Amino acid sequence: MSRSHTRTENPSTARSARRPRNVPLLVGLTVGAVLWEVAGRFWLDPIFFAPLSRTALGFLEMVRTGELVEALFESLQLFVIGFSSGAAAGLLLGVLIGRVAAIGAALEDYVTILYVTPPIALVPFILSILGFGVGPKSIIVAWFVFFPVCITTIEGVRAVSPRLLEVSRSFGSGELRTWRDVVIPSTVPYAMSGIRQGIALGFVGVVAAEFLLDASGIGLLLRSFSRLYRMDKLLAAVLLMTALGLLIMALGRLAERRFAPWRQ
Amino acid sequence: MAAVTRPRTELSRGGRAASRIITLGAIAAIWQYSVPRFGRDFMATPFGIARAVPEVLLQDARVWPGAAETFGVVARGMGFAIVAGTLIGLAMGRMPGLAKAVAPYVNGSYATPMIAVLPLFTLWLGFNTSATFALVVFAAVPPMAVSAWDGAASVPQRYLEVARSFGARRRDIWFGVAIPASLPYLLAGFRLASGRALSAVVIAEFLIGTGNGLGNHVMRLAQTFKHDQAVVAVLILTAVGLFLAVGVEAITRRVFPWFRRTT
Repeated sequence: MSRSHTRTENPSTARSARRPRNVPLLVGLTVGAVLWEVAGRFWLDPIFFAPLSRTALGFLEMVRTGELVEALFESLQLFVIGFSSGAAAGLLLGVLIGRVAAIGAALEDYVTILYVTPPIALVPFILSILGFGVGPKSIIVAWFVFFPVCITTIEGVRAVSPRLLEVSRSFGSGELRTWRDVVIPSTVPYAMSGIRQGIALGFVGVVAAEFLLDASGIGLLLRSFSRLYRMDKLLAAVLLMTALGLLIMALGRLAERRFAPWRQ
Repeated sequence: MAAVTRPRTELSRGGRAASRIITLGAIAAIWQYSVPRFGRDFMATPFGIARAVPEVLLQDARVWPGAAETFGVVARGMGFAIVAGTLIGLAMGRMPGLAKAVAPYVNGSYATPMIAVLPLFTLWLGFNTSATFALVVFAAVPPMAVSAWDGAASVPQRYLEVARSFGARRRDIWFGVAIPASLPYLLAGFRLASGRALSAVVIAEFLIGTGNGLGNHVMRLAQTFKHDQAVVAVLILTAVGLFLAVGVEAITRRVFPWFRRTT
């Protein structure tokens, strides 16, 4: 089953974002913005909703007070620690599973089983064993990142053309040269697609960890705004998450194109 | 994925089975040995989990009602998302103008971490299963829509021309040509959507905390230091996840044999 994971990618999210700006897009956005403003002003209870204009003001206030920058910085730190350790572990184990048959046969099933378990299920265990802090939160982020990276790396290592391997072997290249010239070039595109998914999931992991463990960063913002019924700031923060998510997806695609231009 | 080859040093069937058993034993032994020495005494161990399996599955009065509640929400949310997402996606695939207008909303909700919108849903709908249902729908609709969009946009023009020149009605083109031709995409969308739906329900139950779902039960067991039992409860989630990821596709391939050609 692990072999089909990269297939479940949705190429059209990539395609749609690259389309040039045009009339239907502007119409769509304008209708949405007007609906939001009108609904917020005249229809919906202001305790539970804020029109676009007030949301924009709330956003500006968050920027002005510095709470936004502080929160983003805190979350970014967590992301960097968690992502780098999760991706490193995923690459390492993926290469071992894909390349060493004994390890592959032994471990692949467990990786698959853990992969289909919602990663969020780790949270209660981490919470009661390790409690609060940056360490436990980084473990959660790393856990989110690990699986897509590991599984696509396994696929990549296995997708190395056996003919190329045979040729390089019959010309007497050692394991190191085989890796440099054959295995790595053909693994990178797969691994990049895993890293792209890992970046997106790492972002989810950051928000989840900051929300469910001790609140910090953007998780803290979301939590406190919803408890204080600051709908303007809450909606602004949610929309910021959307923007960050889109940005992260775009960066991931950029990285993928840069390192694996033949994939798309 | 035809290009995928087996590892270089192929193991025999027996070799694979043996290395599986040996690793399972080794992992279990190391785990069992290290928990009392390096871990905390309430942490899960292989023997503890094995002992907890019958206890949780047969004696725990909260597990099956909890699972029924949790997977009930998933099923209702997925049912809604399959219909809504497929309709949105097919419409987008057939009407490029509409697709461009709606795409920012579909892509945007796809990219938003679902946990970030949960506070909104709990404020609007209360701390109950309606908020959980809403989160499942929010999680599952975008992948369904995007996949259906891809599928509808990739229906070979030839099929449509043939159907039209034989005088097929609009309805027949939809149900006879467009939907069957996009089935592989819909299935890929289902797999993505169901994985996200499962995550969504667990996230919502963890955060809402007042319900009686499986996620609530896992949280409660873990907080009262019954980790062996909590692991068993998580394994129920795993089993359902595995079924949604692998089983559903296998069933589809059996029911629609022509499907094999297109993938």
